[in-house]
Amino acid sequence: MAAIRFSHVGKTYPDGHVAVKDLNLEIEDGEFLVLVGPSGCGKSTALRMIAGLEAITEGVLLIDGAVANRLSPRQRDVAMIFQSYALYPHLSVAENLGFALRVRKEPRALVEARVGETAAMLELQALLARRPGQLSGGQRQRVAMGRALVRHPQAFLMDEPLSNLDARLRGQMRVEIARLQRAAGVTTVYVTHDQVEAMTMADRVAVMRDGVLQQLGAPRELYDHPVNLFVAGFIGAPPLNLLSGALRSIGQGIELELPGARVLLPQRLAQSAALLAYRDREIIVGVRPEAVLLTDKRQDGLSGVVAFQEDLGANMVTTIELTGGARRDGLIVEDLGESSVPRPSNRMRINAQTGARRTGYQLVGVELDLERLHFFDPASKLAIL
Amino acid sequence: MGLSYARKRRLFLAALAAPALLYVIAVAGGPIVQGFLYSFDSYNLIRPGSRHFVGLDNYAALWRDPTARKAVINTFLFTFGAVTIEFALGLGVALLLWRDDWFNRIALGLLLIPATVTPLVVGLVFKALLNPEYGMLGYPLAELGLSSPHGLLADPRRALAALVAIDAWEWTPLMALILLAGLKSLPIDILEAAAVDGATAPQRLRLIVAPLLLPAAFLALILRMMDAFRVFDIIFVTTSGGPADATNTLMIYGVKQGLEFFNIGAASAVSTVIVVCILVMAAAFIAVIRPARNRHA
Amino acid sequence: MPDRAGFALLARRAAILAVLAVALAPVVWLFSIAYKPTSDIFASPPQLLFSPTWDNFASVFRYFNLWALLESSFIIAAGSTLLSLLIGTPAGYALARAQSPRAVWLAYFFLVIRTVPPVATLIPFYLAMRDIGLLGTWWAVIILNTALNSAFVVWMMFSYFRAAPASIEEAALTDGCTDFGAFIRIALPTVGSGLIASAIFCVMFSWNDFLYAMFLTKADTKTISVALLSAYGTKDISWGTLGALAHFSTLPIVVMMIVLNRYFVQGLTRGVH
Repeated sequence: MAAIRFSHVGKTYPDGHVAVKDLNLEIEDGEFLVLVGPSGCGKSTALRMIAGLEAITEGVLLIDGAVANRLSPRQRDVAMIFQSYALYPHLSVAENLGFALRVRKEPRALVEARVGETAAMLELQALLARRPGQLSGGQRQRVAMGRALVRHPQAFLMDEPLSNLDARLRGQMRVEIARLQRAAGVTTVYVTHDQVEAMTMADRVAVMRDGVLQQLGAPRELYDHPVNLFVAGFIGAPPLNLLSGALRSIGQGIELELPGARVLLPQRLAQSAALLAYRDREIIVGVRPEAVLLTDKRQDGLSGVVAFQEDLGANMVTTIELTGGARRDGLIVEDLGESSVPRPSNRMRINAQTGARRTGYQLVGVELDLERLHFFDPASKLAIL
Repeated sequence: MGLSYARKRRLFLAALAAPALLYVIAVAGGPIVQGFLYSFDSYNLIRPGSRHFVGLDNYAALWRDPTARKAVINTFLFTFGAVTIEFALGLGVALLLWRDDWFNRIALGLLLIPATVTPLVVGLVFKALLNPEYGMLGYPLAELGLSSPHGLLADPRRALAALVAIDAWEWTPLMALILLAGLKSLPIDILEAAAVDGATAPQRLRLIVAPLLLPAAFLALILRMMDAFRVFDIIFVTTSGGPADATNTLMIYGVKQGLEFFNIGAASAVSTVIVVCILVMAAAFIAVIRPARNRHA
Repeated sequence: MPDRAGFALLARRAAILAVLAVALAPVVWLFSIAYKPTSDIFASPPQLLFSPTWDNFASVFRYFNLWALLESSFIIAAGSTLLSLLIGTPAGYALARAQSPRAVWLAYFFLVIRTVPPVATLIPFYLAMRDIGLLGTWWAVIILNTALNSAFVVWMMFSYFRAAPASIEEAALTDGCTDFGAFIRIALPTVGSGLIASAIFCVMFSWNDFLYAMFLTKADTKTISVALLSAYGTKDISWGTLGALAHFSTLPIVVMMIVLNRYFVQGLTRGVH
């Protein structure tokens, strides 16, 4: 088993493009670490650097305490699962599974034994004689996993292994992979753009964006205490609601000025020095969809109309369009896709356990749980509180 | 540790490429350069002792020689004529064979047979077929007055066109094949979307198929242009450049200079001109096509 | 009931048959004259029907040492093809996997090498072969053909490898293969049809060539293409004999094409992308 450590690691391509910038990350032995972020954020590059498939231009990578920058992939003893599975098309499933062992000239008996036990573990026994071209997507995915498992390597590297599966299979395999990893106890680095996978599978999550590590921590930590706007908006589904507002002093307390509403903040918040520094300044407030309540329309609170409702069975997600107030362009929705340009919007999402089915465009009031607010500086995008 | 993996891999790739590169340069490079240098000499094989440097005289002589000028014109005419016809017919055949069924698959296999016949033999075959006295084609043509009594190949006005036709017979199937492969690789959903949008077949052809076919067509055209420019075998055995230099191309002219008159200096100059022309043609073609390619990329 | 789709299909098939007729008629004719007596070949006006004869084949065997010709052609074709594949394939792989724009230029360079006309380059090569003492042997032709064929193989395999996904090779590397091991065990098997297509092109080029073979071989190492050409010039050899000889020159290639035409097709389409 190995601990993997990135120390000021960077990757700059010859044409000047910077894929990874000053990455400092320590992955503990036996840990399941997920690298997550939008496409182009450098997560796959970082993974490939561990494998040795991508040359490191700055910094030092340590695998099990030894500097690994100059090592070839075969010297690193890591097993990688590719997004496309990369199964050897001209070899049978059995040969695919046993390939790495045969390359290292392991005795035939050992190869057969390991292949057999891995095939049993992943229910591939019936498919051993087939070629990858004759398998379904899910079967191919299992062979890819088997190929890695059979080796008992120092670490598993997984590059979006579930993204080509249908939703149902993905859910099943998430559990399967997590279970196998726990049983094997092998250090695993898992790359995905799906934050659900990150949250449900990881011991720790590393959020990346544009080559820079945004935050590293346990899933709950990232959810409850996002360190900047990006992480706050990226983690959690449905995503965090973001409102632009301002803080105003009102006597002894602080009032939060929002589009169409003024809300007095609780005493605890009014006394926090961090927030006080933002008196009479613009601020961005984040509130999780489950921390918002729908009520009947009230005079002095946020209000809006019901734009859309998604009945998911166990809960109901309601999309509200805020109305009223001078600052119609109030909400900020950061587009987390290709462009990270803030896009003004007036929509909020509310996630409730149950919910009365509201008819469209019904006027409702919106009540925020003031104990569960996140505050961000509009300029630096960092969390204040 | 020695070299880093990245460096080792680069060395590995260089080592893989080295044998081919070195071999080609050693075996072909020397003769090519040597041959090129001959063009600056007055060098006749019959009198090898009298070989001496003459600078650009051979090229000047070429420039002045009306036969050479005619050969240049003929070569360009032949090339553009052959490639255009082969492309047009090839596209037609490809469109006919677009559907994938047993009939078309067998037809495709049979269609390749003309490409397998030695060009030399192709020339001989058509020379016989076009003979006005006993040829299956030549006799009817002459009888019906469609060709002179001496046959198409002996007619200074028609001979080149006849050779273009022969070349087309031999190479159209190959063009059809390349274009068919291009057609088959087109994404079906785009075509279906266009049909749903109301585009008629000719419209779909022009607006969707043509642009997407560009890469396939491009390389096929360039390769065929390069080969057609250097056509030799079929002309050599049918008309050998005649009648009255009507089918004299640069290659024929060059080979004659070298193998009949033993004037190596001139032959080499012709070779150089051929290579330069091909490169210029290819560059011009790329320059014309590139904006279209970038637009449709 | 008028069926427009059915009618269109019929029309298309009729057109295809017409095209096939044009494509195959000369070939059929070529094979037919081998069985015609000379007088019938030159009958004016031309006759379609005739009484077949084996005379032409007999004269082929009389005038030519057919087995020697075929042997020469075969050895030259096989030799240059094998050598070209041997040195050309790794080079194509290296250019495809080298992540540098210079690699593409190098690939084009190989392609351009083949366009140089043989006339002036033959002489230095001829002299070199004479000096080494290989003139007149199959080796001289093989050496030269290999240079030209390998250039083409580099180009073809470059296209093939470029189209093959690099991820399976990467998987092999992480699985413990050396760079060379990944090339041999994983990359090569994946481009099998490309190798066959390249081989077909090489065989055709060497088999059909007469210019180089004519200059570099002697009487006992002549190829069948050279024999065809020289036969054509000779007064004694009739068209019928030529046709019979053309059988032996053309049939091996035709058979190879029909058997392997699937790979030939793939070869061309790969080279295109």
